[in-house]
Amino acid sequence: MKNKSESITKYQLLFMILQTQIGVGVLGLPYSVHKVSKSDGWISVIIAGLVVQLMIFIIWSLVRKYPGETIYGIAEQITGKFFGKFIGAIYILYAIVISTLILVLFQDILKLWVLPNTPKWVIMFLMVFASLYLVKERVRVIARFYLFVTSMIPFLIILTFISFPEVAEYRYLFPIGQAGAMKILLGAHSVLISMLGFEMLLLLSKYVDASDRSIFKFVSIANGTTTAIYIFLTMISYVVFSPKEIEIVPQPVLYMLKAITFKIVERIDLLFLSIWIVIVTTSLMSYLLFASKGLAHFLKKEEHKKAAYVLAIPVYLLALIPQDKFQVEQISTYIGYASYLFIAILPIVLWMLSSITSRNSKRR
Amino acid sequence: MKRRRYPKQIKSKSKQSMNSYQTQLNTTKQPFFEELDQNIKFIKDSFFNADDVEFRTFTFNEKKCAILYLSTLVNKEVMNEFVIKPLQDAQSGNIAETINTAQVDHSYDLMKIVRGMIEGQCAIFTEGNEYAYLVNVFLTKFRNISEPTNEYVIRGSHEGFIESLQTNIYLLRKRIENPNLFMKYVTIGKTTNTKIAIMYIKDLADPQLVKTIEDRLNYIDTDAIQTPGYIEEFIEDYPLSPFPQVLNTERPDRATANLMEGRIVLLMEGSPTVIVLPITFFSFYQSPDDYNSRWLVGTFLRAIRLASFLIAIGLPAIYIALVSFNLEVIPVELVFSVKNSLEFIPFPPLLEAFIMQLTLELLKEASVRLPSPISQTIGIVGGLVVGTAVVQANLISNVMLIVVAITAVASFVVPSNEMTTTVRILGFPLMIMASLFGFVGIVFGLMILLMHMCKLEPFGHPYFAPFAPFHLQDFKDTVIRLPRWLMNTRPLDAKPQHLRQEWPSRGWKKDEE
Repeated sequence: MKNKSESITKYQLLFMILQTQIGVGVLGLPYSVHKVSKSDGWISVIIAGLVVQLMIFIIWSLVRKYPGETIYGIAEQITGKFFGKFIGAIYILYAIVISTLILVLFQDILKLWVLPNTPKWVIMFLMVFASLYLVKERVRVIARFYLFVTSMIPFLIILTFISFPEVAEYRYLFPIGQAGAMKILLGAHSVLISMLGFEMLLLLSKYVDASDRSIFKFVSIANGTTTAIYIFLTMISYVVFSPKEIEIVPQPVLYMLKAITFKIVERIDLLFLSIWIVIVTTSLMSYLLFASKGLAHFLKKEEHKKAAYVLAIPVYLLALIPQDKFQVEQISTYIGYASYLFIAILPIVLWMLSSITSRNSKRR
Repeated sequence: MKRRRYPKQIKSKSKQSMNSYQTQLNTTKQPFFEELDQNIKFIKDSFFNADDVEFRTFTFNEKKCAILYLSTLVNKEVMNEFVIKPLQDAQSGNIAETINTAQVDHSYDLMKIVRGMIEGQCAIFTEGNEYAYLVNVFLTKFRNISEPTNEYVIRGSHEGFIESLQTNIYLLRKRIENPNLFMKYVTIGKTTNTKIAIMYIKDLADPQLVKTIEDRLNYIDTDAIQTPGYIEEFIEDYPLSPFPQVLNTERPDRATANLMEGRIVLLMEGSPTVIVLPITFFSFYQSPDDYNSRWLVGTFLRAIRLASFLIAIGLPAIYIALVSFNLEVIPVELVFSVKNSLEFIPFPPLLEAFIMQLTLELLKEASVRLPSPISQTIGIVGGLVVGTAVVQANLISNVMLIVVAITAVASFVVPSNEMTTTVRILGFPLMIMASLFGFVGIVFGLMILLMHMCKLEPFGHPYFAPFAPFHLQDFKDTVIRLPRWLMNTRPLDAKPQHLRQEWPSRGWKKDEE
């Protein structure tokens, strides 16, 4: 059922997953992990990467059984019309909430670093408008854009490398395992929210024009790349800032970039943030796409243009609800826990149900 | 095809309501009358007894004959020498065989005779025959082939297209001497009956594309086509996009190069500009010069041109963002000099930039329209306005002046006039964004621009290839210009029927070892 003008290549899949995974969390990751697992945060990142890999495997084994279907169609096929619709609806809700969260966190950092006086509804409007402008297009067009902007991620790495100060202290990382296994595992949980995005596979598997194996391979590569970038960023942050310092710098990478200056550009953190804006926008677009494809599925439409328009409104309005920093933190913790339902529990349940039903139908 | 919303068009009940004389001319048929005089009278009436309808009678095969023509359209010397003289010398025989011209036609339809005469043919009537001969004796009056003034090159062909369709086709046929170079006439414009030629290489151009173009051309239902711009607007996919979706060129070598990549060329009678399509963004940055210089030089120039795109749309915006939001980005020493120049300026940077950009546009427009002796005046006046005087008067800061000047120069680097204008216009929204949100605004502006370019698929072919969709192979003739012997394949974006275009041409290296 793969529509020729809608299909994407496996490379495009790779970059779509990668761009969705690397998002708003990338700046605060070292800080938030450090709160739990101290200087062993990078081990937590590795563990989180492995856990995500496992979840990718689960999701992949689910979607490979239903080529030509998104999660919305799969849920209906496995659990029937009513429950399927219900599962689809909560997935849409999940995507909306995550979009909102991205929007709120994005605005927070932008306010903190670049535009302290611009009202938040303006920045959010800009963001939603930009996302909507692309999300209403075909998946293939979106994938093209993602592929193009992925070329900016190496710049992020290069910028970080250039600004790597000479005073790095490697001993901050030692002794390895000082936080204890339990803390490290808990730290992996706080990494996970920054790694979300691989569940796009639930949606995109329908559009990829590639074999099952290569889908798994390329999604794994995407996850591996994300994990590697995160390890790199956390490690750099931990050797540049002492454990005491890191507790007071919520965006360690930016602080590090801010410290150094060049002959012609004095604030590299602004350059970094500019690229980061694009990366966050792609994450927001992915979740908007996820939700609007779902809504379009409910309305029995192949095109999701109108659905995207409709869904952008609640996302924007939800993000406008006034909230303070602690509430946002609270909410993101809840979402962190809730996300397990969508990236692990539901796929596992659906997968088990589908293997039971398929065995039954084979017997018949 | 994707459904798109177009501005509302007047629904045409056309076919009945249009009773223009020309429609009648194109569609109706009129058999011959028995009497020669009646036929002549009909023809004269068809032209409303215009003064340039002339005829002379003579006897042939002992029958009364008449030759009718529009004296303003036919070449009288040719007609006398090759039509009338042989007929009078022979006095009898077959008319078609007696006449000494390449093409002799005949028709039983008087309306077709009228149409032929309007194209510059002369009609030969004979008493008692229900048909007439049409002989091509049209007058050709064209300017010489000269170099197009808007697309100069340093090295390379100095020929340009002219206003004659035939000459233009000749120029292309001369460059690609191959029967595969296919051409087809389409007549558009119910009153003007303008001849359009579609040219492409039969075994190269995407048949799907050819069909699309032909369909869209056939769809054009209008009284007049006066410039290729009309055709462009009728057939383009995205009327709202700022980007030109076809390439207009006056250079036969540029058209030929595009033909060889499997693209289609549309030529129009009376216009030295031809349309090339489908096109990518990077086609606008290719110039024949690139291929006539060494590849390293070509690559360098390409890179400069593409950088000019970014400079032209981004530089004023970046300056505005710098001075109104983030002066701390630039080093302290520079901050002092910039601030110094801004000290006495009464306007915000955005207004400053707008004033200067618009002044520049005014000057540019004025110098195009004015006759060349006067346009020197504009140069002097412009030099004063966009010069030190305006800085000394503390109206514009001198840094802004430099920024605007660099932007203007950068925008003129593009080897295509349409793209130059587009680039200049695109700078304005970015400037506004920069003045509202600083660098964040620029990032969002560029991002939306990029999304727009990724979206564009004029005639079903991606506009931003080879970047999106990404195709590494095709980079060899976009951002860089690799040596010819590395360009083994044609660019993918035009979907040519076969990709290979170069085989190991440097095989001699092995032989000589």
